This record gives sequence, C-alpha cells and structure tokens, in this order.
Amino acid sequence: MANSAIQRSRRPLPEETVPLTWDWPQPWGHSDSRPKIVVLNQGNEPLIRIDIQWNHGFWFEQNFLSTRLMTRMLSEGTLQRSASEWTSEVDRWGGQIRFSSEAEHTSATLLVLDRFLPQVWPLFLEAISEPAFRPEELQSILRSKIQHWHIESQKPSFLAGRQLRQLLYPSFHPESRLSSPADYKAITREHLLEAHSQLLSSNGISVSVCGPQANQYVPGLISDLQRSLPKTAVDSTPGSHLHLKEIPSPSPSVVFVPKADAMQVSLRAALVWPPKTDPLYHGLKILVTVLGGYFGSRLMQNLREDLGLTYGVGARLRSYRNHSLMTIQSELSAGSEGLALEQIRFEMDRLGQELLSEQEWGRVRSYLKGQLMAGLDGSLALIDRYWDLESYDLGEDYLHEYLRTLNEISPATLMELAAQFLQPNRLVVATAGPSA
Amino acid sequence: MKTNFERRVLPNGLTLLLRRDDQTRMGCLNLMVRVGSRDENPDQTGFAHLFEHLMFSGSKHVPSYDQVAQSMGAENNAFTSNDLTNYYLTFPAPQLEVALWLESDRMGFPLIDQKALDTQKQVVVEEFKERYLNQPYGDAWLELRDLAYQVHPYRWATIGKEISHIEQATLEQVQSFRRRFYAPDQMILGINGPYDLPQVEEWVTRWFGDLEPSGAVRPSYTVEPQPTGIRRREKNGAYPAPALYMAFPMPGRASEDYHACDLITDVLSRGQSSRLFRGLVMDRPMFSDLNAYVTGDMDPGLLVVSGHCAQGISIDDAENAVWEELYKIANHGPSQDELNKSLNQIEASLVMGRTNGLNVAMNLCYFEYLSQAEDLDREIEAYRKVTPERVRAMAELLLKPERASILRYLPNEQDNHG
Repeated sequence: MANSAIQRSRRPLPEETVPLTWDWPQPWGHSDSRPKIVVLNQGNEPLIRIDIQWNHGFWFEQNFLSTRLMTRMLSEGTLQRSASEWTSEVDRWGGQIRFSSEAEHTSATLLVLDRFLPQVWPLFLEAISEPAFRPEELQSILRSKIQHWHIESQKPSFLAGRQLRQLLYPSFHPESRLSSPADYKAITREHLLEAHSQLLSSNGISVSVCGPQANQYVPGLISDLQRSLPKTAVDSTPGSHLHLKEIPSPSPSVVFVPKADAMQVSLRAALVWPPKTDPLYHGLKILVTVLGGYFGSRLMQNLREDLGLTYGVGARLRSYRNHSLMTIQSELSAGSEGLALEQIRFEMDRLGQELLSEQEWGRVRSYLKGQLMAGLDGSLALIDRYWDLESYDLGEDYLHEYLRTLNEISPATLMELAAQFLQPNRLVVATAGPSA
Repeated sequence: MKTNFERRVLPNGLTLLLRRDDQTRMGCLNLMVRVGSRDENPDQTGFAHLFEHLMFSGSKHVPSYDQVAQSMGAENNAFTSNDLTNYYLTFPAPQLEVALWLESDRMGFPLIDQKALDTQKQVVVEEFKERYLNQPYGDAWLELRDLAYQVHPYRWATIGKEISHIEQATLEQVQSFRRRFYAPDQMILGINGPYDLPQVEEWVTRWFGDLEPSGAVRPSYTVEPQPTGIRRREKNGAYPAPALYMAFPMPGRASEDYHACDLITDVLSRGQSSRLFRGLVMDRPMFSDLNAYVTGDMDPGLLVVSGHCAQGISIDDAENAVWEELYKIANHGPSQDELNKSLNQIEASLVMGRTNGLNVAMNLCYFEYLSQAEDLDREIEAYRKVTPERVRAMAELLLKPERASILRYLPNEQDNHG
C-alpha cells in the first residue's frame, strides 16, 4: 500500500493560477436614478436576497438608544398585523428578515426562497413602512434588554470595551455614551416613531437585489419601494451633525477596571487611524494583518504559541466615515496583562524598526489574496463586499487598488507605515479583571 | 435538492467524498476523524480537544502547518465535539494538491514534543476559563451534562471535566491517544470545488495512500439507563438573574425518531413566532430569553429548554410556565399549520447551507459518519414525513418530569436584579 516513491519533504506545485476576476453588482437604470439600485443576477440556489441601506445610523439619533430599539421593534408587528401575525407569516414562508442599526448606517435584509418572495416581500415592506411600535411589545423588549444588560455587565470583556470607548471618544461624541438600565426605561413609543420618521424614509437609500432570477423581479420591487416608503424626512444627513466630523484624538492611557471575581483579564486596546477612503488604508490593512489579523500573526505567535497567555489575541480594523480604529483584543491569564501589554508594544515597535522578511511578507500577501478571492466567491459573498464599500461611497475600483497594493507594496513601505501609525506610546488601553 | 458527489474508499480505509462545483474558484477540504470526547477515559477527559490543538504544532515534513496554509492563501481551523474531531481548509482551487500534502502529513506524521504539549495545555486551560468559567452561567453545560448522564461519556464536556485533567496530560498519554484514533480508516475526507474525480483520487492516493490503518473496531459506548425520577441541581451565587436549564433524554441523530424530536423544538422555539418566544418572552413575559433545541448527538442525546427569567419573575413560576408549554405540546401536539411553517424554515436553511462549499463538504462527511452521505439529500423528506401526531407522541414520551434533569441558577438576594 505504501507509496515509497513520494517525497513528502517536497511541497507539490499548485496548478496554474488564473488571474482574479469577479462579477460586480450592476446599476439598474440610470446611474443617477433614485433610489440607487444595483442587481447581481447570479447564484446557484433558488434564493433571492434584497438589501436596503439607509445613510444614517445611531450616531445621528436624537434620543439615546432609540434607533437600535426602533430597528429591533420593526419585527414586532405593523399597523395591519399584530406581532404574532407578522412573525407567523414570515416564519411560515421560511423568510429570514434582519433589521440592524450600525453607527452610521441602518439596514434591512431579506433572504428567502425564490418561490416565496411574493408572500414575504410585502411583509418586509410593511414592517419598514408601517411599524406599529405597540407599547406592550416595547415593554417586553425593554425588559429583555435590561436583563441582557445585567448579564453582560458581569463580563470583563463588556467592562473593558466600555472603558475603551470612553477613553477614545470625547464626551460629546455618541460613541462615548454608555448605556444603563435607566436609559432603556426612559424609551417611549414616541421616541421610536421619531427615530423611524427621521431615519427610514426613501431619502438616501441604496438597494441591492441578488439571486439567479434577480432581473425579473426588479421592476416590480422598484415600484413597490417607491409606493411604500415615506418620501420626506427630517434632515439627518451626516453634514448636519457637525460634531461627528471631528476625528477623535485620545490621549494615550492604560485604565484598569476591577472585577474581583473574574478568572481572566480582558484587554482592549486601540489606535485612531485614517478612514477606509484614505490612500494609505490598504497598507494599514496589511499591517494590521501582520500584527494580529490571522492565525500566524505576530501577536498570536508571541502571546499564545510562545507564552501560552491566552486562547486567542487579535487585531482588526473597524471603519467609520472619517476615521478607523485599529483594535487589539484578548482574554488573558490573570496577572499576565502586564507582560502581555509589554509584548504587544514590543511587536508594534518591531514592525516599525525591522523589515518584514521576504518569507513572512510572501506568506501574508498570499493569505490576503486568498481572503480576497474567498470574499468574492459566490453571489452572497459578492453582495457583502458590495455593501462593505458602498457604505463608504467606494466602488469596485477600491478592490483593484487593494489588489495592486498587495502586489506592489514593499516591506520598506510597510515598515515606514508601521513607524508612523503603530506607535506603542500612542496606544489607548483598557483592562478589566481581578486585581494583580 | 440533490448533492451530486462521488465516493471512493482507499485500500487503507480512508473514505473520499468529492462534490464537483464548477461555480466556485475556491477549494474546500474537510477531514473528519471519528473520535470525540466520548472516546476518552473518564480520568483523562479533554484529550480529543487537546489533541486537536496539538495537530497545529507541525509535522515531520512540514514544520509549521499554519505557515504553509497561509502561504497557499488558505483559511483553516478545527473543532471537536462529543462524537468527532473536524479539520477544515478553504483555499484558492489550484492549491488542492498542496492542501492534501499538508493535511496528510500531520495526519500521518505529527510532531508533538514536550514544548508543544506544555504550551497547548496552557492555551486550552485559558480556553476553559474564557468559555466556561469567566462569564455568568458559563459552566451550565459542565453541570447539565454531569446531571443528565450518569454512565455515558457524554457526561463530560469536550473541553474536559476539570482543568486538572488537561494540566496532568503527559506526552505518552497523548501519543497513545493518537495511535489509537488517528488512522485513515477512522477518517472521512470531503472535498468541494471545481475538480475531476480521477485527478483528485490520484492526489488523495498519493498523499494519504501510505498511511497505515489502525484496524480499530468502533467502540460501543455504555448505554445510559433511562432516568427514573426528576433530577435537580441548584447553584447559588452572584448571578445577574435566575436561569433555568431543563434537559430530557432523546434518541440519537441516526434514529428514525430524531426528526420528530427536532420538530418539537422547532415548534417551541424556531423563529420569532414560535410558542416559547411569543408566549413566554413577549406576550406573557416570564423570560428575557428562552430557547429549545436538541444536541443532535450520535448516541442518545438531550432535548434542552433554557432561558433567563424576566425581571421580577421567580424561578418556580418560570419553570411552571415552561411545563405548561411542554404539557400542551405533549397533549395536543402541533397543528399541521405550525408543522408546515417549521418545514419551510428547515428547507430554507438547507438551501442556504448549500451556498457554502465548506458547509457541503462538512455535511457530506457528517452523514457518511452517521450512516451514508446520500442521507444528506433525504433530510427534507425525513422531516416532511413527520406528522403532527408523531410530534405529539414523541413529546408525550420525552417531556415528563421523571425524565427531566433541571439545573437552576439562583442569584444571591443582593445580586438579584429581578
């Protein structure tokens, strides 16, 4: 049975690689038509996915928590149907409907078997355009949210994450405001109605339709959308919220939140970086991958594989319109946070002092190209990538530029970027756990 | 729905399942090993999972698994359950032979030394703390398994019964575990991607063909006796709210009754219109969250109902409210309309699952381990054959107080936000 001829120590050669190309959602109608609609007429399975995104999120709300609770309450009944009737109908046809509110965007997603679109699409529109926000359901949701808050507040990761937000953002910024049970108790139906009329109009929306039969559905969907969504809205364009244009500039700090009964220390750290639209962003994305963005990263190798201090440590980028955050997070063995932070700073500093070896850079480049290819494989993945970019008014060119950067950027440029942006003495750090 | 795949079994017992998918440019390799925590010695628990960690420590001809995986643009990981250990890779399609070389080397020639063992023991101990000890109710499954099982190895969790078992693991014990379970006749290899069978078969034979089979016969596991009375356990402490976990023994995944049991929990808890969510979270708020689910284990498993009590609701009242719902389905069953709703939801989930090549490869391996991969395509039929009366009868059989294991978390007075 043994195949004695094979030489295991010789890595086989891959088959020939074809250049990376992809389909991209195409605009429907004129490029300046409103609402902006794109279509991806693709997919192997009999599914259709429709996404609607509004150009505002909870950073723009007038009453704290009202946007997040408003989107949660969209699936709790309409003027025509009780919560029980609406959810029963959606579930009956196997529809998956998700409403979510992010800092700068609000979105609604419908995923359903093709053959049930006629039944589920009207329910989706009804929830967006005619929500009831009945007080009984609101009270149940608020009670659940408060209970959830109490449970989460026992976790060191929750405490460290909140502390970090307060360190990063000035007190007038919505991101620095921390929720409490009293904030939930203060929410009323009127707050939700106000958030709804402010955010969910037909103004400033973008739509995508994706599926093997997408083209045939679009004309009907457009007319339904135009008929259903309210036309006017309070002006809540980003430009009217001037305080959000200010880029946070936190002071470097390390703050510890005691949690005496915890068994580990939660560490959250961050740096404020340029936004996704900045030409340097591609290089920074590569840098954060080297530092802590994949299994073989510097931080994983150091803190987990060499020192055994943690089950996992990661660095990632979180994007906003006018800045991004480079964040580092880990749950650490109690008492090891000092050593861990020392090693995190060491690895940040090292990237700005030493060139990446050709071997390591080749590995990271291949890994990121594989990630890019996987992220563009299949219609549902493509639509996710589309929204990753559309949210920042970026288009397909961004991907070509990223690929070009991956192919052309040098270790010397990456070292320069690290020296400029990965400064250990700028790090903002929050930890929570038992005292040393 | 038909998943077109082909099967080959190598002379050394390795089973290959290939699903050709010309719509993707990514390859997926899933390698399932027929070993899980149920195969562990009661005094050395957590070994299957610890060994999964050690399989990333390099092999004889590939000193760093991760470095090679990353250099081929792959994403990889693994997980361990009570029944199996599963390794997977996704990569640009032209890299398939490299993936097979990489995977076969660690399966046949892993390098596990004292340093690797010491490091991974520390890492797993931190994982134990992070997942099970460092958050409220994190130990629920450690407690519930111990309560619901008395003799079957499902009585401990995959992470292990206690931290000391991991800390005390020796190199010799770990090597012995490998010799016993990591052999090609204990493995199922699933591949999804734009590949021809003859080429794939040639590569698989080249890289896996010289691994020696163990010839091991599948062990039979101690049969858990049917419970004869209600089992209760209460934990008092600084919990933010009372919490309830109720577990009932149920048939294993391959049983013809499995789908009816799964439908019990779908009717109770799948979707926002389900009985428990609508009834006991929203309309009559006894819980802030409440779920019902089956563990889906290969040997007889558990049907579980769990949730956190709403503010101001006592644990006794909350538990009584759950019993009312359980009696209702045991006495009257679901309506045909409720069942149809669950069936449409299941069909949608199965179709959505098919859009992911790794998911397809993993499911093919799982059904092959369970019985035969062809059963993957029979799932929706198996669910559609279940009648409302069958669901009712199973609920009546299973959901009795004398079969229940009930774990309750009770906050200290000063910590109770309820």
